[in-house]
Amino acid sequence: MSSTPVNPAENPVGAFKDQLKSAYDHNPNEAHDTHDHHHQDEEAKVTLGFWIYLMSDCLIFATLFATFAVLKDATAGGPNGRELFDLGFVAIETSLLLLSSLTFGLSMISMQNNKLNGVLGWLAVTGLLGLGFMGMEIYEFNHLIHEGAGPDRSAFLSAFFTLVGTHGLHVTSGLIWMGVMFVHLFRRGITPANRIRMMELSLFWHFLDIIWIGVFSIVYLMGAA
Amino acid sequence: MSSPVAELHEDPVLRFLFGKLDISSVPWHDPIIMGAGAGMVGAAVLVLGLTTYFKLWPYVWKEWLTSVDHKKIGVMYIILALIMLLRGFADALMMRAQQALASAGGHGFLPPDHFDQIFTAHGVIMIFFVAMPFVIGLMNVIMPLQIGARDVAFPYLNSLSFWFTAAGAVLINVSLVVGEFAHTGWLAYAPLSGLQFSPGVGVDYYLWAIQISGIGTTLSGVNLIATIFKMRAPGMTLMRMPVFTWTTLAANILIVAAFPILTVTLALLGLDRYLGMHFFTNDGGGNAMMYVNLIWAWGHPEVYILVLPAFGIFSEIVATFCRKRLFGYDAMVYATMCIAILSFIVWLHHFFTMGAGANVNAFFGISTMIISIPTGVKVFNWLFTMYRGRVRLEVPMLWTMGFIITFVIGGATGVMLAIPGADFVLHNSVFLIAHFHNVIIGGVLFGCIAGLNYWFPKAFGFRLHSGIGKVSFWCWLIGFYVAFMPLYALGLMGMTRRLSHMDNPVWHVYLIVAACGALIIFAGIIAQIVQIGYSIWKRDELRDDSGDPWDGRTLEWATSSPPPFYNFAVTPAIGNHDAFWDAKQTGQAYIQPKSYEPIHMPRNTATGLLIGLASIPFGFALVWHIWWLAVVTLIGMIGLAILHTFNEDRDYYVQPDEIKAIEDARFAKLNTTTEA
Amino acid sequence: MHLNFFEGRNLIRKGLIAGLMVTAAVSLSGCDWALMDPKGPVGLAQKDLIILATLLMLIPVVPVIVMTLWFAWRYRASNTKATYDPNFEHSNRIEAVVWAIPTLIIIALGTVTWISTHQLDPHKKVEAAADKAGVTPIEVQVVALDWKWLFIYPQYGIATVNEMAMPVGVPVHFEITSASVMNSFFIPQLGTQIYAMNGMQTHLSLRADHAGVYDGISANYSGFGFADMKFKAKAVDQTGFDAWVASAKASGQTLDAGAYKSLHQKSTLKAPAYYAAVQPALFTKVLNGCADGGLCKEDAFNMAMMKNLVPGAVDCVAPEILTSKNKTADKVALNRATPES
Repeated sequence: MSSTPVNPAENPVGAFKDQLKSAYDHNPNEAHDTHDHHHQDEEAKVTLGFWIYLMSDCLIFATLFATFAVLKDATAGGPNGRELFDLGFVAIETSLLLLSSLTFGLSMISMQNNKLNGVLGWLAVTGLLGLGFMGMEIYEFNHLIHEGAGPDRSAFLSAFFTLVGTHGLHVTSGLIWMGVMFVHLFRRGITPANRIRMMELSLFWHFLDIIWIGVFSIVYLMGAA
Repeated sequence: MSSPVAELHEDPVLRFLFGKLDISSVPWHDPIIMGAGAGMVGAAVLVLGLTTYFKLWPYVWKEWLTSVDHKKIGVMYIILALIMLLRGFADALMMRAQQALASAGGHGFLPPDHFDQIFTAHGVIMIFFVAMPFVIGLMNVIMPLQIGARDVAFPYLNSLSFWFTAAGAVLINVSLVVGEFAHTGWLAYAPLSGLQFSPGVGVDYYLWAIQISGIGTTLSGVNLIATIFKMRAPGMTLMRMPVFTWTTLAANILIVAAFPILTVTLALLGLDRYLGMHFFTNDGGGNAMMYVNLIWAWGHPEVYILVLPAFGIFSEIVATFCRKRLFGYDAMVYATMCIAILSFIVWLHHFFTMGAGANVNAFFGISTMIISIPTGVKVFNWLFTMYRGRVRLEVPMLWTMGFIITFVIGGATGVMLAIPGADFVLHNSVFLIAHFHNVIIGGVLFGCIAGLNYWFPKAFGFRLHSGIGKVSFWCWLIGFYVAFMPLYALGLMGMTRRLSHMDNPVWHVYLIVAACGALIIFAGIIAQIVQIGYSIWKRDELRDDSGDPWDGRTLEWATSSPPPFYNFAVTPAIGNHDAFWDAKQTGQAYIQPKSYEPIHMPRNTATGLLIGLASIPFGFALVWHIWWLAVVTLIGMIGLAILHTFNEDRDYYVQPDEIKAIEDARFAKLNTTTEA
Repeated sequence: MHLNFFEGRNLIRKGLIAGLMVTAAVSLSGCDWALMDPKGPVGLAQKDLIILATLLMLIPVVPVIVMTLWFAWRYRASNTKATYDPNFEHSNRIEAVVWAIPTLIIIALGTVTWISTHQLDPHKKVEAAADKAGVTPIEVQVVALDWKWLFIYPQYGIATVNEMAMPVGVPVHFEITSASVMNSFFIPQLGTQIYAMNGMQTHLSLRADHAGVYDGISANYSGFGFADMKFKAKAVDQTGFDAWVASAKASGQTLDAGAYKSLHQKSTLKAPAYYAAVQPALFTKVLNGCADGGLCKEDAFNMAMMKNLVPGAVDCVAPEILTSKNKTADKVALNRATPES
């Protein structure tokens, strides 16, 4: 750039001209820079996009929470939360998920330090904890259905199964994603693309954790109180 | 007088293979349906046959089906919208004909179960598969050009969004021939839409068609927001974005905030129907009022998702065709965002008659009226843009003026409906029907067609014939008033909506007039088709090599028409929301740079197309309870999406030589035009 | 394709002729405008409200239409005499006016809205006409069925289908519910409609000030028979009303469980039906989803409440549990006493 940049606010056309010139005077040897910019841009774009997606997902849960709140007492002669929920069981379930958030954090720290084995190891622990969580949830669902407290029993149970089940479906997606992530990391190691993927996955996983805290307090704690 | 109740096959093998589907699912005996079905299949075969005959498959595959270019995806959205407009309008004609014929004691030509499906399909198609794809299509084609971007933030996701929308449209058309469509009204109020009262497959088609396309819409919303926030050209601060980009942003924020509610609502209805749950059922503690609340918590923002971009289109057109800066740009922006926020606190005005207390009703009534303040400001700003301008009555400007006049009338009747006391008698009457057609046709549709005429030369490099365009405009405008003014009157006479027959000689006369109005609109649609066809035929006469046929103001006019696949050879820099106008004024436009740098572009991918295609049998299988097919297609879709992440070769750099060749050709043409 | 243009032009002509016919029809039959020809105080207030709102809305609408056409003409591109100011994009004065005008109108209309919404609140009981002061209001329980209207008169012990009557000048208090899907109870010439919803009870209070037979409809689509879901609301003098009640009494029919069941079938009715007697608390049973047998919602709710208060009280609430085969899970045994079983 040969001249001092023009303040766009004061002189819009001048700024336009200035910018054009700087673009025209571009040095082809800086192509490498462009690539780097590209990765940063990509990361910023993907992160923003993923956040927006998470917000829309958050609204899905918000709607389900609202539905649950409306239907909480609509037991239609069936059992209520106090009769059904085993808080001790859910506490273990919750701790598995919370712990998995911590281990995911450790995996991310390993990634910052470029330690592939650490990333993979902690990711595996996270995955196992997630599987444990899902196993417990499936056991609970199965138990309830077996006891005649399935989702078709009452509106309260429909809302319960749907809210908790939607969270479970998200955790399952997260687990599948972790599986795919493993393959990616094995194949390519810690590449910029995999960094972005891990970052989104970690956002997703922590998001599910936060949602679960809501589920635990509103559905289980308040339901069993 | 009853809907066909689809039953599972008795034979276990057939039940496994076909679920509820059997040969009698197709209404072979119904001449109307079979005729329409044959027409659709015939048209599809013709298109596929011609593509094969002219050996166009490689071109269609490479340049369109697998394209991730926002302009091409946008064009495909608009083509989808225009095709579905024909389908939705055929429904409208049948409804108007039925009510005209069946209002003097007769029963018309449609039995209630068919009529009820038609008004449901009309609403669903017009909102989800005409207005939405039209608006999203225009956003796709134009918004990235307006902000000087090379594509949207996530091109592959964009392709996926489109194909999901298209899959939903295919599913709704399949329902015409195989099985039935919902006969519940376009919002499928529970408990009528529950299994107890709608045991057929119609509501299932409704659910899956909207779910699949709705997911596409949500993804598209995420994509376009990220595009606007992250990909603006240097210098384009938020307050320098063209108003259409602003309204696109507002509409997409609304999409991301409102569509999840729709997704959940329909999912809950689906759970009621498929797994016997009790969200909205009469028994088991279900609460149908919750359905009405949830569906409108989406439904009202949806209205603004459609109309805000239309406002943006008019803002661009008014400024261009009055050769004047848009009056009150800041006010326009604030008004847009005000409307977007307010649209979330008015949903209850759709059911004042549900029995809420006076305070609640009054709150929602007044909050609804408050929306008319920013809307009124917008109208005045358009008018003051015309003031002291040089108004050129080209086709887009005609649509804009038709819009302003029609829309203020629709707005006025809307404010009347927002007064709970008045709504207690006007609710669900054909007065309401007239009102929302007044704003949706007068606002959204006029906006889309204005946008189509305005930006068509940008997308294709030649103008649409203006004479035929004017014929179409006048038919639409006159047809609209002839079709809907009688409905206002009928509403005041106490005629409620969705009546398949009635016996009232006075109404009969009004309904015949309304039917004539529909026919005049039909003439307008025919003219629209002729306009497009004729313009393609005479494209050399209508050619525009300048890239700027209307003397435009915003960035999209700075590049060639159609724009090169990379949009801008050099990323433009912006100092103002009328960036290109200023450049032209100061002689900065049309200067060819000396050299180019490589441009980073995404590669085509078939993944979006394939996932979209797989979602058609997926939806179909769920409708008919063919579980194996649903599982196979679902795994297929997830597998394809995962496989796509392993495709590391997703982008490339266009080399300066190639860019230079394209740009040289453009500037050579430009110079001949100028010299000539 | 070109043919269609001629067709279009033809249609325009036809439309114009039809338009003339409409004008003729309007001028000949003013009383067809049900909402503009109300027969009771509620409808009357609503008519005035609609007219007031229309006039208020004309304040911005007319100038906007005039300005659109005027500006387009005045500033047409070919009129080079008109001022051209391509950079005129802001004026504090104009901005203030364009924000102020809609704001002022909405403040006015908002005030009207607040007052009228409270005045016309369907929960609010309508007063008797001046000459009927002190008279007992008529109570009517309305049940929307597929696709007919059931009216129960608890004060008289009668019930009717698709026809109701009321004495002129006497307020009628409606309690409304639905035995199936959502409908809307509406007598256009008397004013306010209100939804009829399953499991919910809505309230409405109307009064007819003029004798006559008024159309009553469902104003919310409810399925295939919706268009025929109509009734007649007869406003008659006190003698006429007593005679109407007596004729229902004379019908000899009883609306017992069996009769209700057959009414509950999906069908439309050509002629009204009358019942001299009604099974006790039918309306409450419909409201609680147990008019056809089964567990009433109210009872289910009470059981749930009781369980909340006294967790151990499960056994004494539902005797079905005692016969339940599976006693291992006492706390959920209540499930098996489903209303359907």
